[in-house]
Amino acid sequence: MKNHVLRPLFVAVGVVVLILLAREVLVPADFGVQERGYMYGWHRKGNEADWKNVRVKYRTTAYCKECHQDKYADITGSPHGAIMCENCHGPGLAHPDDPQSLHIDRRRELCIRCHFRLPYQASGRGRIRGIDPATHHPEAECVLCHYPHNPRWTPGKEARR
Amino acid sequence: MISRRSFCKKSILILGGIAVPLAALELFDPKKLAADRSGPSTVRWVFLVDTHKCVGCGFCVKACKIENEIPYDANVSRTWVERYVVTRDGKVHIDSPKAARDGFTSTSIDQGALGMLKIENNDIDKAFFVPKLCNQCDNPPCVQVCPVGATYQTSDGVVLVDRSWCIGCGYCVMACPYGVRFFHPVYHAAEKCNFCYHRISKGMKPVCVEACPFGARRIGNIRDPDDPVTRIIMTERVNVLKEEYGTKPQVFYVGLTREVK
Amino acid sequence: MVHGEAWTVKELFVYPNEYIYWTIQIVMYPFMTGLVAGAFVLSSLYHVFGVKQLKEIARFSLVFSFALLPVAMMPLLLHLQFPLRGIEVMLTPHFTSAILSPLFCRGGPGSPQGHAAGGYAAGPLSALFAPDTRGVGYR
Repeated sequence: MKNHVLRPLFVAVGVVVLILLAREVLVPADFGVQERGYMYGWHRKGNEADWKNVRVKYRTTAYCKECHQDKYADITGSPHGAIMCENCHGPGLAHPDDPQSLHIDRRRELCIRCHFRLPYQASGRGRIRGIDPATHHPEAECVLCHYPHNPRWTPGKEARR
Repeated sequence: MISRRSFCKKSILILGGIAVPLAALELFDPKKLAADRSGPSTVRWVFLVDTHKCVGCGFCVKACKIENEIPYDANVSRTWVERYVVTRDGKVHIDSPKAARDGFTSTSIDQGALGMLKIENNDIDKAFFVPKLCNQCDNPPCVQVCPVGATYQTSDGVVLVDRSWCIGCGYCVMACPYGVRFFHPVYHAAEKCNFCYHRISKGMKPVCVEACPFGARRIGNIRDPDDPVTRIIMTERVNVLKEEYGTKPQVFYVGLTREVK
Repeated sequence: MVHGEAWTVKELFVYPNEYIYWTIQIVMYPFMTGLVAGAFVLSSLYHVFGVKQLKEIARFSLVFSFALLPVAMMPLLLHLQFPLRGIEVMLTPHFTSAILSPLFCRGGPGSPQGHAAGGYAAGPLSALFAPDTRGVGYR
């Protein structure tokens, strides 16, 4: 064969060999076709463990009630019983080792997530007792009058359970 | 003896019949989906969203962003809640301000660059909320288009992204018909909801399920016939999003209407 | 700031994560490769096929073509979030992705050619990289 045909051919073969060599060095050993086949399972197996090892930040109510039995008893029978503690108190990942890490959200913006009056009867929102935050004591934090762990009870009054 | 006219007629009929793929005639059947998955795994995670129960508080979005380390103020989120307001003039208004991270605390609709649209309460025909998250499709188009194998589906059906292998081409972001994927503002790799894989693999529930006070979000294993979520999917009227794309989404919705996109 | 937020204008409802990621760089790539190929053909018309009228432009277009060749790939690489990882397309190619079609003839499962050939035999280069379909990994 002529020289001008062979020379580019050598270059092409060299490139392919180079890529195959680089593949041996650079591609992790556990990269390959996994359970879901080549189309959906072509990946590095070790990454599944990477995702499993992500740190859990929300410990859920089951964790909180181990120490805070009193607060748990307060909220569990109330209309707010279904709300996870960490929704308002912040994720409990570093608690109780670092108490400062819990940030209790007492802002009005937290309460009006549900209690801003939206008359949407097609969803559950229409049946939640709501207010207009612009007219309903706009200067005060909700917790001044309402006890969030049991909204049926207000400070200074007998419980209305 | 066949005439030319009848020959042409019959050929057109036969060709037309062949051209209609059998799949187009097949109706949606979750039972078949469950039977199809004869893989090695005994777990196949599915999700059930009850749109009747969602009130748009956005606790799921807040918890998801913190749990999965998505920058809190960035305008992307692994899950979000959409508000649908159908007015009397037949118009459908949709919004999801800041992915509903702070809930819906206004009666006005956020139209982006067009500003806020005020809607009178009397004009509303119906209004409701629809939570959205990754559908963990059985035919995930985002995985098919990844050029390097950085995103993949595990044997239990969750689609994950390998942050150390993603080249950031954005093809998966473009391929997802549900708009679930985005680039992580810090890690720069493609990012998506993975049903909190670190939690479900430890026996916990995804954080959005835990954070929802109304039980609008539930997770289950469709290969377990006794799972309450599987029972609901098999026995009640559920629907999926954008079924016509052929992605076989695995997030089932109760109370979906035709307005939901 | 989210990638794409700077130039994406959202009107009415769009999904919260929806930003325009593929922009001018994607268009620049085929434009520049087109220039490279066109200039090369122009020069070869004179050098190989002997079209004498092109003598004036032949040498310039050859130089132009070779000069543009190394940078034609640049816009495509720079649009990646990780330009240095671009080589992974060669290392662990996933042939079901259309991104690979300009590089290799498609032959993965799911592509028409792949099915016709019963696997990976369709593309000249894809056959070299064909992973083991028996599920053991390529080694």
